[in-house]
Amino acid sequence: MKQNKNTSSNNSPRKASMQTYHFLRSLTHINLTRPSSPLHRRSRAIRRAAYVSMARAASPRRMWTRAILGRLQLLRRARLLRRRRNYKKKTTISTPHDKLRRLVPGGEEMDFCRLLEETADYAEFLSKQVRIMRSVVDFMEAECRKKEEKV
Amino acid sequence: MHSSSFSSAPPDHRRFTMSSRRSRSRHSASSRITDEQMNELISKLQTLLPEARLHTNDRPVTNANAAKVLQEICSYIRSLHREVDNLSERLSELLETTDNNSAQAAIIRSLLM
Repeated sequence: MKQNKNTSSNNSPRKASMQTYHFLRSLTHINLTRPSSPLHRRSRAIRRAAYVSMARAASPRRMWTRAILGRLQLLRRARLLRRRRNYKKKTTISTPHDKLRRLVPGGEEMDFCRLLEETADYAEFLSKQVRIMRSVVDFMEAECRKKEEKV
Repeated sequence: MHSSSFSSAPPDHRRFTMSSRRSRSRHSASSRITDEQMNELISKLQTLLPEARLHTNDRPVTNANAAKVLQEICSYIRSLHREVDNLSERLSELLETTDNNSAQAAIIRSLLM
């Protein structure tokens, strides 16, 4: 589609642009429904759009993309409910392994090696998403400032 | 809980009733076999951390500081999650205050950048 905006990224230009495109398309859609929705609901919709556009731009073979796009989510919720019912003791000490599992979507269902690979992939797309959102915010603020200067 | 195709332990068909103790032993079994591979992966993750770009090859990943690297990765991902939350809030506020034309112009500019 368009050029790669991040010179430090080692991805193909197309992948980064697809992420931008998905996110901006969702943002436009959210923008259109602006008057009717309250602020916090909109910010949650934007947040969801951020994660979904990450997942859409990444490989569908990844566990984390599948988890975000919902196929594993239902299973996981059912499993968590069942776990809470079965286990009385609460594990108070969580190792870094466990923490990482909980941070990466779909992390509960893979072994450790796979988890590390997924983490690398996930962190890459996540940092890209943050860059995209930062630049959108910058552009919007610039437009606001331009508008104020004209008045 | 763990996908059986990647671990060396016998496949467990009753995934939902797997005990936490068994899952921990399975995890340690897989880490004993692929120790070198794991260190490689952890090194790769280390390069993703922002502060790793400052001192790139100073510390090779050993079993001793593997836990520390994992901690750093966890806090890095957590900070990224927080940033996404903050930026979403800011974006929704900005959408509220900017008029339609400015918002569209900003969106188109981001796309073309």
